[in-house]
Amino acid sequence: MHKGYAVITGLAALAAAVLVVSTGFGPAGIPFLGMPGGDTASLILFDIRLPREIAAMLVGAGLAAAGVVMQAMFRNSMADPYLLGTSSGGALGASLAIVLIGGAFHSVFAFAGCLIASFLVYGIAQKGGRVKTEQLLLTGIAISMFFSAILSAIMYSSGQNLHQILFWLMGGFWNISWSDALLGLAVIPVSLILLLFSRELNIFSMGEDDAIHLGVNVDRLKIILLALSSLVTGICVAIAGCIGFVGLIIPHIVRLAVGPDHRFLLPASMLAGGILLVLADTIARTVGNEVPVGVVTAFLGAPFFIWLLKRRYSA
Amino acid sequence: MIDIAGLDVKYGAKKVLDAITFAADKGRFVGIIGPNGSGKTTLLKTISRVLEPSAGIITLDTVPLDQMKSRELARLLAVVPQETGTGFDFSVGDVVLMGRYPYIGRFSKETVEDDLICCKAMELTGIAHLADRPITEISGGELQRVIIARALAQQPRHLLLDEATSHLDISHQVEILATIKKLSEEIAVIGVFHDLNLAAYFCDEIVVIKSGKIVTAGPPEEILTPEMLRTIFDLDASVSIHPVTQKPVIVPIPGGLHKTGEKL
Repeated sequence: MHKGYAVITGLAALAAAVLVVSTGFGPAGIPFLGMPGGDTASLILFDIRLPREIAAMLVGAGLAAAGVVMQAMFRNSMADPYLLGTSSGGALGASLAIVLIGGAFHSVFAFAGCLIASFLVYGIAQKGGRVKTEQLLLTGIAISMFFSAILSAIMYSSGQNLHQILFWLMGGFWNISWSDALLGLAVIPVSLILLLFSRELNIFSMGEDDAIHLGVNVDRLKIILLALSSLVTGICVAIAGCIGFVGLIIPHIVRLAVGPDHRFLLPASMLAGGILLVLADTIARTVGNEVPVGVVTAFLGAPFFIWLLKRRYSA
Repeated sequence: MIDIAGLDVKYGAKKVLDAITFAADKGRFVGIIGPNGSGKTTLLKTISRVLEPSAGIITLDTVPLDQMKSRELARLLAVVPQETGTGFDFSVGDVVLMGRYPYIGRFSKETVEDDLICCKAMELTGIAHLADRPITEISGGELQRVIIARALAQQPRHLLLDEATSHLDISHQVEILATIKKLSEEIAVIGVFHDLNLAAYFCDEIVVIKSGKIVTAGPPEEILTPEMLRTIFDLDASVSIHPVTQKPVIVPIPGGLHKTGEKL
């Protein structure tokens, strides 16, 4: 039997444990088990912490799924929705919704922003259907900077929404309600569809020409995968803003444990991404006076990214 | 049967293939030779639909290439490319099993039959003992045999080889080409060759390409002449019929035939 089954089972158990423990962990000092009772305690547990942890779990899973798919698609282990500018497109979309129509449909706007950003980056970076690492990363940075500039302009000209917009840039789970957690559930069906493309994702790693030789409809598949990974990223950004590096770190670590087969890599990465983000959020809300979780993941992720780059160029 | 008629391919405004017309059928191993940059790889990429022609038609068993679905094409035609990417550390067995992709539905698993076909392909190419090794840790020659096994696992009726044995040592080169030669009794094979002696020994027909055009085509003993080698490859060489194999053997003679003759 493939070792992936054992890893996935272990990660699922760990995810459940982390969810329970971190829900019982916070500045108000209310444990999940043996709670003292009372309306305030139950309110903090079930209406503030629990939806927040569930949302963090689902967003972490979604970002990891998007990272896995983008890395396979671009045959590039440096790909990640944050680095490629997808998330910044989502943040811009959500901010536009806040400024223009008072925040209505912000998740739709976030998704549209992600989609536009992804296709822009791919369209600019590709040459004859092929994408070079340097091209991809630099185009991602350029598009990110461009979208951030528009975002800054919007922030500058609309003082009263500043705090709300700032939230999309830094990423966090401050005001998570049950409706956010429910929106996060949409990550699951989209990921299940992605899982159906595991075989194609495996074949993609052999190169696009080989994928054609083996019977993959490459042009169509690229559009489907880019749209689905943008959709997952859009859901995540709509809930928690731009959180970087989960989609970069997780697939690397999980690949070491389960190997490159996407039938195992994708679900295992989603569980691991969920666990990482719940832990990062627990740190974020207990250290000092609540730091944005995006700051925590960047603290972990940026050194990892530099290590990857160094390893790439020394190989 | 691969049938190519009036094929033009352009990179931008530059014509890299010009009015290519020839056919390959089972029982006749067709070799393509020509100097670097003559369009050999472009031709194979066009037959495997990686590139789109600007004019002309290609049919596989009378079905036009552009009317086939991706999977349908992969069941009919397999390709062994010059180079293959090895991004992630899949095992040799996993990579060969990818050859079964065009046969397996999205919602189904590989069957025992798929596994048997892959085992046989790995035995034919002599890599069965490597099945569990990651492809990132095997040699270039072993990788080439893995890709050949993957192509055989597709159970194709047509096979394209782009210098498919260039990374192999001489004994494996001969062994693999002998296997393919045997297969060519049942399936149509087109192979690009750099090694003219291997082409001479294994091919039933040689197609010579230069600057995107077919210069000449026919059986090796008619095509491989000192005159052709001088005009097409800019090479001075002697060609003789080997007493044992009865096939042409080419020996390059740097400095030219007549000069060497003078010295003698």
